[in-house]
Parts: sequence; structure tokens; C-alpha cells
Amino acid sequence: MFRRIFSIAANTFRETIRNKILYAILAFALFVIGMTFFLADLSVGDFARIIADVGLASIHIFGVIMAVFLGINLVSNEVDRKTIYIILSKPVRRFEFIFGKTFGLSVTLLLTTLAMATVLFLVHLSYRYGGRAEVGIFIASAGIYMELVLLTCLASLFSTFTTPVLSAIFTLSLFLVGHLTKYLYVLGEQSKAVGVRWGSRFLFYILPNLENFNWKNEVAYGGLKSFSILGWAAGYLVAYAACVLCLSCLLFARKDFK
Amino acid sequence: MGFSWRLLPGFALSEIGGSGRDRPGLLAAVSLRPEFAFGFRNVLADIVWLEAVQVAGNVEMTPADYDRLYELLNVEANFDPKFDIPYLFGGLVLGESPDHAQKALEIFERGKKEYSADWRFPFFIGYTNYFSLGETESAGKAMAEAAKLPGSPSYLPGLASRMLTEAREPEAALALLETITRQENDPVRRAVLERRIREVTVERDLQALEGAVKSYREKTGAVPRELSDLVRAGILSGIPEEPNGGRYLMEPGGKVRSDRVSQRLRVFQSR
Repeated sequence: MFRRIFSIAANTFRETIRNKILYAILAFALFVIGMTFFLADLSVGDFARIIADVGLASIHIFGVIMAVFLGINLVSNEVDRKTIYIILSKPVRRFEFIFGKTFGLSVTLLLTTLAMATVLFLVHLSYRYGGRAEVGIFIASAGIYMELVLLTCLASLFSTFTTPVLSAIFTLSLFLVGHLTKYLYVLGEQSKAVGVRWGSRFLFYILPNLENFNWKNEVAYGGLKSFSILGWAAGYLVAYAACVLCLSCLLFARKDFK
Repeated sequence: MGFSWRLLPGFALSEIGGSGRDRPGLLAAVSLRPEFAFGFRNVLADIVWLEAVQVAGNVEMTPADYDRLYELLNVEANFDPKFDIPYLFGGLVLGESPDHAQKALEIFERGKKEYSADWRFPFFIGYTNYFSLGETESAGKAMAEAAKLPGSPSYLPGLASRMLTEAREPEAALALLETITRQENDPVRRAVLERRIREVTVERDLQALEGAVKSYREKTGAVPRELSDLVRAGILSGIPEEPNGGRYLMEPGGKVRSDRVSQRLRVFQSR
């Protein structure tokens, strides 16, 4: 089973890493991160902060674009090109296909995030006014990567039952809502209606809480020093992603390709 | 409350009337509920901060520029209350305008709430009270508060007592300012302090020249036609050099002004 998942993952990785649009997005992201070197000169005082903040925001935004753009086509591309028939006619179970596809894309995103984080680290390090080796950039980038993996899982879930355009809309909506779930809970608790309070609690637990992976704001204050912070977030990611992937497999198993 | 779809309003909100008064820019509206920054609070704070730096960097700041700076500093602090430089730099620049000195104090107070153990906030509250508002008592109290906080410079207790005891004399103010400027390591804040030294120097010179004009009038019964008449009459040994590279000019009626400074410091004028 693992060999088959690995084969599909390796194939998906090769397929996505050759995608020219991915390179265009990555090149633009690296350009923006490089430009922070000059943008910081416009500030007064804590110059390197601008590099860290704008750079991490770029990694986040371009990472989300990559995850959504590649994630929504994970299954639909195979269906459009009819290659799904060839794959599923071999001894490959449908859940292995979904897991393999998601893992493959996650590895691609790992490489792109690592490339962006490394460039940002070097720009931050080489800045002439207060530049330093900031480990927090890699820790915050790891958080961004975990968020991207979760978005990939969600995109692959939507791509099993709807069109790429709708998948993109759903995934981006969950990206936005995912950063508001805590606020949704707080807002619901202020309501006098019991139904609203329970409804907001339900949404809080069912929707992804992407703020669990957001440590960008701590980097500017040097608050991110230890990778141990990743542990709890990784646990949340594994649990939530497992649920999403199981649901994807369930929907994909019921899909009729005739 | 509605908002304009522009990221930041291009003018001070107080400048616009009617319904426009209630329509801040998109970032200002989002800053009231920072959760809607979707995890990008710091970068939005930085965008607003860079805009504030551009406004504060104007050579000739108008009252509208000061209003806009105040609003930008508040929007920035809504997004990222822990960013200390906007409080210190923005407050210092706002304090340069006598009409905005109270707003400068609000900015420093907001920073003080976030950094209650940082001596720089009560220090600049004292600075603004003394040099912009002429409130020597409040200034001395704030300086004394700053002197008690860890890391504060050793000259602060002396500065606090001098502020409490000395009158609003430009000469005394210059001595205090020079002490503060010598201790300031940040080049931007140092530049603002040096600008203030030049302003106080101009005020000191103008007061001295106007005093000399008064003596000339008492002596001759006429108003001098030009400042050099004061030297010729033996009242002054020479005309002081204008610290901004300009000249002191005589106006009809005996008033003296600098050709480089449009507004005199009201703090050191008799009430």
C-alpha cells in the first residue's frame, strides 16, 4: 500500500514541479522577497522588521496561491485527461490515489516554501542596518507550510466532487474563514440566543483554525526561538488533515467515472 | 459605519466634511477589527507605518499633514500595538506642531500603556509638555517618573528638578535640550531634537533682538530702520547668526523675524 501511495506521490511531485505556472509564481514571490531589501530603507528605526514582515506575508500569500492553484486540479486534471481510468484500472485503491496525490503536492509545496524562506533568511541576514540570522523566519515559514498542507487537503476534498473554479472559491473562502474562527467563537459567546452560541461553538470546532499556524507576527519581536512550538500545531494538522482526507476518500470512493 | 475602498485616506479625516467624515480608508476600518487582517496584522501595520514616515518626512508639514500623521499612527497602533518606534518617532514629530502637542501626548500615553517599564515614554511626555506646551510642572513630574524606571539615563533626576524650578526661558530650555541631544543615540530622533534646538535658538535670538529694539526706541525715540542700527547705537555687539542659515530681518513697527522660520515658538513667549 505504501509503495503505491509513494509511486503516486512521486508522480504528482514530478508533474507539479514541472508546472511552468508554479515557476512563474515562485519567481515573482522571490522577486518580491528580494525587493524587501530596498523597501526597508523607507522605514525609520527597526528596518529589518519590514523585511521579515513583508517577506513572510509574501511567502504566505504566494504559498496559498500555489496550494490552491495546484490543489484544485489534483483530481480534475486526471479526470479531464482520462488518465484516471488507467490509474484506477491498475491495483490502486481510490484512497491510495487521494493520499498519494496530496502527499506529492505537499512535497512540492515544501520545496517552494523552503526556497522562499531561505531567500528571505539571506536577505534578512545581509541587510546592512540591523540584519541578523533570524531563525524565527524558518519557524514561521514552517507554520505557513503546515497551513498550506491543510489547504491542499481541503482543495483536494473539493476537487473530488466539484469543478476547479468552485474548488478554488471554497478553498479560498475557508482560508479567510480559517483566520476568523476564534473571532467567530468570541462573537457568538456575546449573543443572548442559546442557538447562536451553540452554532458559533459548532463552527469553531468544525472549521479549520488557521491561526494555530500563524506565528508571523512574533518574528519581528524575536519571540520565535524554539522549534518546539511546531509540535502542537503539527498534531492539530495531522488530526484535521486526516479527517479531511478520510472525507475526500469517502466521496471519491462513491464517485462514478462511467 | 461605511468606509472608502481606498487603502488609506489621502487626506486628514478632519479636513473633510459631511458624510465623508465617517468614512475612513479600508485599512483604517479593518484596523478597528484587526481579526479581519486574516493573519497579516504586522504587514498591514508596516504599510501604514511606511505611509506615516512619508508624511512625517515632508520638509514643510501643514496642519493637515499633522492630522493625517496622527490618524496613521493610531491605525498602525491598532494593527500592532507592540511596535514601539511609531509611538516615539511619531509622537516626537507631532509635538513639533503646537496645535498637535496634545495629540502627541496621546500617542506617547498609548505607547506607555504597552511599555509601562520603558523610561522613554514618560521622558518624551515630559519633553513634549515642556518644549511644546510649556507645562513645566507636568514635564517635571513625567521626567521624575522616567528617572525611576530601569535603564533611564543618570541625568534625568537633575533634569526633572530643573524643569520643575526654572521658568520658561529659552536659555534654560536650550541647556536642557543640549543635554538630552548629547545622550540620544538614535539618529532620527537626534535630528528632530537638533531641529528643536535651532527653533529655540531662533526664539532666543528674536527675543534678544526685540529687547534691543525696545532699548533703541527708549534711547532715540525712533524705531530702527534695520538691525545694524542696533549695533551702530552700541546696544548690540553684533547681529546673531540665524542657525538655519537664513537672516534676521526687521519689520515695520519694530518686530523682528527670521526669513527661515514662519511660526515662532509660543511656549517661550509671555502669557
